Amino acid sequence: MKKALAGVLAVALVGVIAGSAMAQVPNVQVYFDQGHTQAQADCGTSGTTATLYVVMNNWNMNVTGVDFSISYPPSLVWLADVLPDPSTQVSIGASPGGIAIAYANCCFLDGFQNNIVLLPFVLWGPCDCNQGPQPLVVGGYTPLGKTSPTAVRKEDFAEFQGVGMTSLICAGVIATEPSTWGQVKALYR
Amino acid sequence: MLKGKYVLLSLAAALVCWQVAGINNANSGIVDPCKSTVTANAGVVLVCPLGDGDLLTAPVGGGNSQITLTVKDVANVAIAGIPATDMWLVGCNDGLLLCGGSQGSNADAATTAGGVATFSNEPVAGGCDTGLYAVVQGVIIQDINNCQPKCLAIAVRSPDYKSAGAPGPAPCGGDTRCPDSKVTNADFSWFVTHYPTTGNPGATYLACADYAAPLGAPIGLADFSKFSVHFAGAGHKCPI
Repeated sequence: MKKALAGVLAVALVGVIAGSAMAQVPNVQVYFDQGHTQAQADCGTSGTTATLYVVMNNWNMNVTGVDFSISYPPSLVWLADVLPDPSTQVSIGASPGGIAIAYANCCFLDGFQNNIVLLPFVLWGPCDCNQGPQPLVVGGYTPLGKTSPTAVRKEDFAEFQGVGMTSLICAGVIATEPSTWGQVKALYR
Repeated sequence: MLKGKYVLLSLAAALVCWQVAGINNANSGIVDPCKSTVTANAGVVLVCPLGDGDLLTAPVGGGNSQITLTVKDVANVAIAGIPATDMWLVGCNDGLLLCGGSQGSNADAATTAGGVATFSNEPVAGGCDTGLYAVVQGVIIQDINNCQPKCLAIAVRSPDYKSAGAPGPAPCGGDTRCPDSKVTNADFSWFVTHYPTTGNPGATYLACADYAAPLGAPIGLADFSKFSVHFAGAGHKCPI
């Protein structure tokens, strides 16, 4: 149990550290709110649906295409991908295995702002925070062998690689049995 | 009497000289496709029925594929003043559907005194072809070395590859080419068949769907992005 607790802490710690370190790096991250401020959430009610918000952060260029994949935890069942503006955006694939999104000439993304690029529609399944944090990981467009998100610059169609971020369900760890910091530290010795 | 003959002979000689001099500067006005020449650097360009593709001066991946044409007659004399509308480009394999006919690929301007004209703009077209012919007054310019049609190695690829059906041409299956001068769902559906996805990871590469650098397999995000510029929203179409 102690090992499990340590693992949980480590995952949460990595998520937090990665989150701050990657703040200015071009990245793609899943948020739980439309204002894209919440990259962590507690379990939702099983059987209810929710919308996630995939955001491109810090790309600082005009974007005419982006691709990535999302690894969903067992507690989130992917149902569908919704484009923010289907009238000017097209996509190929689906987020669990890899999705590519491209934009009309009129309506490319101003990557100097952080834009929502996809709205995955999900169903909450059985979810227990006592089981520890569950990562929601953004990866590359796997059918093309990519391991990280990439985006295409409008002016010259050059492709750039970013970082796939990890969001967490149940980031706040709840100890299930009494412990001390000393005992936790001992796990790493 | 003798003086009069000399005067007459002098006038005749002067007339001959004037005519000979004239021949050196004049041309028959009839294009000789085997004496004329056309040159360009190899390249790849995206073309669109709306006319907002890649300029020949800025092909995919850099460089310059501007076409230079020198028009001459049978006597190898340059022909000046041929109107730009009398010179156009077509696909070497008849793979392009020009928007508005030959006006979709006219030269930049009339031929100069040296018989020279250039093509800086890409054809306004749908379809796909591996090369371009230059046509002057209905005649394809030939290779000066063998008097065979000179196919310039400028690959031309359009997001308009398929037909959506009536009132355009009949739709066609697979990778058969049937452009209809507009970029529609038919074209998107065809493009997707060449884009690797989890459901189709081994999507076959087709050069006609390869629009952006780096060129070559597989078709990637840059190609999709460039395609979508002409498709997403209101698909581009020939305005004529």
